[in-house]
Amino acid sequence: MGSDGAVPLLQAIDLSRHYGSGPILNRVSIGLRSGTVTLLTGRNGSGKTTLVNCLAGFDRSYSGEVFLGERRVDPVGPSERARLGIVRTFQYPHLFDDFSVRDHLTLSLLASSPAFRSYFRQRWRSAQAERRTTVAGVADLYTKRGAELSFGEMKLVNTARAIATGARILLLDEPLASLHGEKRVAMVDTIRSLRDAGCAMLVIEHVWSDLLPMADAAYELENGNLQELPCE
Amino acid sequence: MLDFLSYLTQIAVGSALMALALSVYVDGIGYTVFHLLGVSGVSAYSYALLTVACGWSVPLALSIGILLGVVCGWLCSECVRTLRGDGLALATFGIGVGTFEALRFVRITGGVFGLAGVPQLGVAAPVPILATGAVVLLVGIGATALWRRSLGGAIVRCVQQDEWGALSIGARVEGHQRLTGAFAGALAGASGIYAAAATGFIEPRDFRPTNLLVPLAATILACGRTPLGVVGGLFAIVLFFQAVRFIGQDPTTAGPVSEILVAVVVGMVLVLIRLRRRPKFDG
Amino acid sequence: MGAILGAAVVSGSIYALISLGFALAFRISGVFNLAHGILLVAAGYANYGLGTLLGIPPWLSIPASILLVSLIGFAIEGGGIPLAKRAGLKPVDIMVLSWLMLVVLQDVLIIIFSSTSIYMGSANVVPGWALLGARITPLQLFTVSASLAAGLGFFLMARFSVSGREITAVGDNPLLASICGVNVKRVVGLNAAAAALLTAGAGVLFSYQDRLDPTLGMRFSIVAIVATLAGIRLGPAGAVLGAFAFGLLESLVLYLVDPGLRDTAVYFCLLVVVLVTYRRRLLPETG
Repeated sequence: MGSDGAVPLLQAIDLSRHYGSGPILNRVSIGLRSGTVTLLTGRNGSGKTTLVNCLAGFDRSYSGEVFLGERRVDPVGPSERARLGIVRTFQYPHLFDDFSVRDHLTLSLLASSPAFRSYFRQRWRSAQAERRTTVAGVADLYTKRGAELSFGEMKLVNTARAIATGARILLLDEPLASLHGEKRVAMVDTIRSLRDAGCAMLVIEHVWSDLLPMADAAYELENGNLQELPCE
Repeated sequence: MLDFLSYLTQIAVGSALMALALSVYVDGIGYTVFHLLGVSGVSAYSYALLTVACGWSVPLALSIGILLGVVCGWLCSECVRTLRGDGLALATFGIGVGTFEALRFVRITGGVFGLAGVPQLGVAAPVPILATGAVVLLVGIGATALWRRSLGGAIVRCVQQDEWGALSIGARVEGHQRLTGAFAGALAGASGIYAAAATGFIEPRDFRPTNLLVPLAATILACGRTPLGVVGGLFAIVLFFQAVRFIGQDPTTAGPVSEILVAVVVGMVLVLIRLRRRPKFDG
Repeated sequence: MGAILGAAVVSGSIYALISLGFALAFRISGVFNLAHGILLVAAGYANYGLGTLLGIPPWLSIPASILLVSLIGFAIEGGGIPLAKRAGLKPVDIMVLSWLMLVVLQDVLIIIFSSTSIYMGSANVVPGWALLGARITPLQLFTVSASLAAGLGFFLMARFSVSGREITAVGDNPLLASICGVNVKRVVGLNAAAAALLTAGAGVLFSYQDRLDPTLGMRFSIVAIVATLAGIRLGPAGAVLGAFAFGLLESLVLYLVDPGLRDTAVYFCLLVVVLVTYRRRLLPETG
């Protein structure tokens, strides 16, 4: 959990989650520090997305503890965790069909506004949230609606939307899936820039070659247990 | 012609406000709910009782009635906060029809016989009726349009289209559920009060479940378009009912025949709309 | 107290038959078919139309009306609902469509029979037998026996027979059941037919015991849903227990509280049962 003694930004201690008879997570402990990239891999069904669901609050039927700094966040739901700075992306992107990509980024910036005040805000589209995103290739998609995007474009927008929230902790579920060539390189560059800007990231990927050089830690989930892997 | 238009206004404006209330849920946050008739009944009866039994002034009773609609709408959304889909529809059906049955039973509301002498919102003449109806309708349409265009309206549509996506960007889903419930409750309350004031009489039959058919039909036929589309669709359906009544000349069968035709058309449109929707990745 | 229990058992038996039919269909489709209750009403009216209006003798009118309404129920549960699900409609949309179907069938009955309530039973008071301080007629005893037998039969079938396991498999995962060699269409069809027959039979029995009018369809649907959800952990047989429990609650309200609150109790029971049974499901993604 870190050799320098600093408290991790996000920390899970003894996280366990059972489905049916078997454990999908078995006393998993992991910490994410500011300005680091942590890689996570494992075979299909090993529990990687379940771990992200638990960390982000989408699944609170776990035992164990999740801390944001020194604050325990287990009782807190997913939208409040997002407002506290823990934002995740999805393996299958959950985008909004009728909104343009620009609207997606704007809504990411503004969604955490108090509900009552939101009802009085009419000219919300003028908030220029696209300046907050650094994902290359997304600018070409600004006018496209969520329903018109290809799967690779959806993954790009998914990640850009998470970044546009300004979160300090990003849980990225296969951000490089379906990306090739320039787009893949651009996404890797984006992850590097976010790390350099102090963001703590947990990245789930099956193919690590592009991310390993910048990774600070790497883990594999196997039979519910987290095993540390060498980063070289 | 003026008499017919004022009659149309009296029977349609209340339904139009209910259709707007339903559209706030169906087109907004994407929930199918059935409690709004119950909410409109509570507001309507409170307006009637405060004016008829307690002698309060019309503006004060009207304000209290709409406030009650807001509170009931809020409370109902709190009750069913964790439900979605068919569970939510069923639970709100229980609330709505249960309220209707309770109104039929409670003596103070006049039971099945209802209450007469409910004061009208303006002068009882064709032109003032038309004017009042138009003003009420424009206020309802304007409020709904402003809500749709607002940031809050956009966020509830995000919740409708992908709730997990909305949660992941920090949208305050519960807060929006409550406010949607309150806003729809206000519209539903206004609907019930207008209907009671328009006829000067209120009875529990005005709030039975089949009275949701026309507003729900207008909402579905509008296909998620503007509030003006919802209201336009509703007036078209009401005119259709009147046309069937006029052609059929038999009032006992005209109503059921109209309902059958509307139900069949709405069912077909609902199927077509849903089939056009792009399948989302699940899980 | 005897009168309360007697009334509970008698009304509960009719509710049990319709609830068992609903639960059988619900187990496979997972859809709240709001048109289910109108089938009970339609069967009663069909028997009235064939028997009283057309003069057909009961030994012919009763099976004919059960068969006729069962065909309608089969078309809805065995044809319409599976088709809607395959087309990608959500359960809530199918529920709204079933409500529209209820409105259509109710209005058809109103047009044909003009809102008249009907009663097929005898005008003479049948003394019946004394039971726990109440009196129960032969027909009521038959209905109670039939509902208990049907409930027990389906419980044993579900637990111990291949057909019962097939129904459970198709209800849980039709695709996997098909891969494992279950004839899904046959199971769905037979299940829908059984559900429709039970409901139509309940309708005919009810018309001989109490007054029936076209607007009662929704009420019966809601009672069936309440009973099914109340007994959901035991499957379709649990719906029978749920129905008798609901019958007892209804009798308590009728005799001890106020008869006017009977219908209010139905709908608030629906709210409570749904809130208790349903939880918002947050399904994790695979990975």
